[in-house]
Amino acid sequence: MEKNIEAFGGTIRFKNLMKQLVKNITILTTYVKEMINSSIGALLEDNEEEYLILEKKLDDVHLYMEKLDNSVMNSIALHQPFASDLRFLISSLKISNEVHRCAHNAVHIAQSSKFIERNMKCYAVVIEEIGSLARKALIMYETSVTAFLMRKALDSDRWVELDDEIDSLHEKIITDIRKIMSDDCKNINAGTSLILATRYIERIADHACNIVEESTYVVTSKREKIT
Amino acid sequence: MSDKTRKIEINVNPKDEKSEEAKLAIKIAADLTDPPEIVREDLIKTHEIKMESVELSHWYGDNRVLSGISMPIFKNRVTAIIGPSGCGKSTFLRDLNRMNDLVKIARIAGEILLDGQNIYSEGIDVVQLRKRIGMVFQKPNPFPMSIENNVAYGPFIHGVKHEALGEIVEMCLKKAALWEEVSDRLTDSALSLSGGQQQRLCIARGLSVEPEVILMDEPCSALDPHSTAKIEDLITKLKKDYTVVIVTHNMQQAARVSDYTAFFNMGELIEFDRTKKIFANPDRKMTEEYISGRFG
Amino acid sequence: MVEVIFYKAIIYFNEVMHMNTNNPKFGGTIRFKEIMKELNKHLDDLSNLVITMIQNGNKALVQDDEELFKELEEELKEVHDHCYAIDETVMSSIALHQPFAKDLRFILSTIKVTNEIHRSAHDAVHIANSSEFINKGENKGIVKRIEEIAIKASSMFKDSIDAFRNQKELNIKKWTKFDDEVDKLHADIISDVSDLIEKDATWSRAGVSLILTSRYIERIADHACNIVEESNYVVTGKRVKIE
Repeated sequence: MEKNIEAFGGTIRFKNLMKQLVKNITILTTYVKEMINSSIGALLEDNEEEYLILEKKLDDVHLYMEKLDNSVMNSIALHQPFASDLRFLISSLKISNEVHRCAHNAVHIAQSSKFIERNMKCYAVVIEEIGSLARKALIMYETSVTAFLMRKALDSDRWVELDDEIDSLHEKIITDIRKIMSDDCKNINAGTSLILATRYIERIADHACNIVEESTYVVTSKREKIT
Repeated sequence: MSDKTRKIEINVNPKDEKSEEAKLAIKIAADLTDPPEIVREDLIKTHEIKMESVELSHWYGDNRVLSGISMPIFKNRVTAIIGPSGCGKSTFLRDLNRMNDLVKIARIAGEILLDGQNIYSEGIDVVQLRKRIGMVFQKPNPFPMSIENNVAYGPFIHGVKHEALGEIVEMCLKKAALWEEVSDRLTDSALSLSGGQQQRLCIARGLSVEPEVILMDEPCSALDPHSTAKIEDLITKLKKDYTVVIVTHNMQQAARVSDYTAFFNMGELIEFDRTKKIFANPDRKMTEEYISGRFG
Repeated sequence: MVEVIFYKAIIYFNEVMHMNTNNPKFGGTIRFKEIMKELNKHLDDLSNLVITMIQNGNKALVQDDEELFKELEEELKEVHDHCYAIDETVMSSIALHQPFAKDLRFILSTIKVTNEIHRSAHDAVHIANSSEFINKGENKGIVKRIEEIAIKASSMFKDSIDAFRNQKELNIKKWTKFDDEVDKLHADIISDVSDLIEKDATWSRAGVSLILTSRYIERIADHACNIVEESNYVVTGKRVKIE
């Protein structure tokens, strides 16, 4: 990945600061990616304890964010960058926000697993569908973050399609769950939790789209709305 | 504990073309290309033009230092000219009021228009021209006279009566934001002033002959930050009544003080646009590289 | 009942305060001051718009009104325009004026605060959308409790923006208390509604909607707390979280 990253310009000190910033962003986004991955696993495998582990990890996320904020602040204050370097710095703050929300979404997803049990046959099919939705969302998250760090603009049209795909899949799942709740399954809490979990997964995909918008802005200075 | 949970594997460099990841693989948007016009039509129409350079080229002997510069200078606006050392920006500035006439080997082609009239036409009174287009230099160069005489000298030799000079001196020193500091010692030598004050005196001196355009060649590079800030504020106020063109090698200053910026490199105009655009999202790769310090 | 009047009084008081707030004074060059004025104006426009949206969202709690939804959709579009304007102004103010210290903190924090306000606008729309299914006629008791949370959250939201725009430091302990109060009220709603759903499955649609509505309102209070944290950071340079 190192070879593909656009080089930064400016003085040696500025380049070092930017290298450090990219490192900080990578640490934060990778940490949150692991959180999302764990939360989905917790949902699919019915692991209640994961919620508590993930909640504690939020503290680490906040620390990484603070480090990132300071990194950005220093780079701007000490080096007065312009154009794409400045856009990258400002967008980093936004990415930090988006990834922070993803971390919270991960915690909520794990929380939902509290009411779901493996032996609930009525929800088995829907849970598999949620797993598939989650995989898509996670891929979107990973790709969007990679593109941002490499400072590459992505194909906005394709991402609009993806966003629509996720939205329709998410609507379908919720409709299915509601049907199951009113017809078959007496366990309402489980159904409600699954609805909420689905929403949070869809939210992660939204955040990925926002990150792609920022990447495009950094590279082209134009805003192309995806969601 | 986490071993129990199922993890999702993601392959960001997938070989399987049909996989989800492949569909999302980093497909780069089309490369940005430089726009064809250096100065856009819609930009030219935004405001009244005071001066205009039309295909201006400049040689020192056989050495060509400016190639076909065409750009507007808008009335009552501050235009900054930036670029690396030797790019021709100071030469261009001196062409704007024919200061280069004083250089024997200098030769120009093309036109410079002031209110639509070519200043290089036959029969133009160069002294009158330099009254209409004043210049402030990098190193403050007050005359070795008193403060008030520095300002009075210009109007005096252009025939203004003695009685009117006092008022002109006060007005110009006020316009140059220097009056309050020197009003009680107008007869002191100009050389007793600080660098920043001397530069403001030079500006006041320039204003005394009622110019229309003020050219500034790196006016703050010899000054401390506080004086620089004062002069930058002064420039902002001056544009209400005058048109200002400033050459600076300090990009941050150009960003702070100007409305429009022209980027020169190797004698060519690379990009001209609103300052906000040039420093936030320039159109041309070379401009982007220069202002983000990748060369120069 | 007394609490409701009390919180309504706070909203009125805040509205009056809002009209009389002065923009903070910035130092620096003339042009920098001008651009900061512009930034504050955009922030003002955005926050007034979203405060209206939250009020509309809260109205949807008690009345079924098609017009409200249309209004909120239009207002959401406007919110996006304001956010882009703020983005541009932030970019210009940094690129063109190279601010430092408190000025820079304020400008960078504006990015975060704008994001919080933007998310609150979406929450307001969600409140209206989920209010559609809460069976207002049958659930008056719970709806009233949700209304109380809404009033608290709205007032917190207004105060937080006020503090940020005027670079005021607010008391973290007090705000932690506000946040805890809202969280508790919300948790109580979830618990009571869950009980109702367990006893009677036909409650599920309305029940889930009630929980969601309450959650979106609680989120607005969260956003307000985040804004307060930013405001304090701008003033003091230190980050203290409201947990």
